Amino acid sequence: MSRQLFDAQNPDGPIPGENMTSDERNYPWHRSPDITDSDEAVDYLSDKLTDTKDGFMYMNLLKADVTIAACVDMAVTQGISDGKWTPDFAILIAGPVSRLFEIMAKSYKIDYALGVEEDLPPISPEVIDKRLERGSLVEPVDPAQAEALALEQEEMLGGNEDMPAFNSGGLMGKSPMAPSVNDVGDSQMSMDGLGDGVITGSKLGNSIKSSGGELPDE
Amino acid sequence: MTFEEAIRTSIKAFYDGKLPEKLSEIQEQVIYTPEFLDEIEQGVLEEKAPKKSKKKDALEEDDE
Repeated sequence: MSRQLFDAQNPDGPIPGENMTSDERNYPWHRSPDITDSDEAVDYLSDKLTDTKDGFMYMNLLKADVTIAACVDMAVTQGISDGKWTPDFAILIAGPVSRLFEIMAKSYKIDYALGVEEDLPPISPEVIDKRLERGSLVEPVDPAQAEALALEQEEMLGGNEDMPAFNSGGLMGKSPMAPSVNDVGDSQMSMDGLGDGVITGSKLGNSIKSSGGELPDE
Repeated sequence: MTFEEAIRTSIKAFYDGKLPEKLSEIQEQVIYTPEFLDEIEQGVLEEKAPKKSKKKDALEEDDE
């Protein structure tokens, strides 16, 4: 006997119109978008790429031959899922955002592909082999270069002289709010009196190693 | 047309110097035009950055 896909006597699907009764604020994209001005959206993404590790991630993706169009797609789709803008608005801002990515890539001297060709070439086994040979040894963005760019950007964006820019580490700079995750001394945290008191993941791991697998007494 | 294709088309149009036609109807001014981003790029690459505040000032003067 074949299995029935729909049992008319015991329906278990949604009742027609049930969606009208659900809470429309369950997800960010169910609500009104936060941003409806294209310049504000570009500013938002510019800040998001400048002060977080997202910027590092995208630059390293570009180094790994991911196209700018694909990065833009990821960035604007993230904005949609965060409820920042609508999908059609995301398409409107794709152009300026791609230029931001391009400027960032050029400033870091990254060879990039725009990826707007009509017919993208199919990924051949040779291309995959080539990428696998490179593995994860993608050269990271040079922190010294990032710091040098910080000064340029602050000057370019005409930051408030009375209030220094929050991120003093440049376009890709580390946020001063980010906690240290390695054993390298964090001077800012030490000055704040947090240097020795904060136990990071790696500190705890090293401590466990040195004590032969026992948790350290606190 | 998929979303990815729409993104690529939008990027291509922007690189050709085209802005969405209806954008000017919902927004009084657009700061991030292809020309302005070209200026930023030039400033970053030549270390002679145009000040954003100057651009805004210029736009405000245009308003007046």
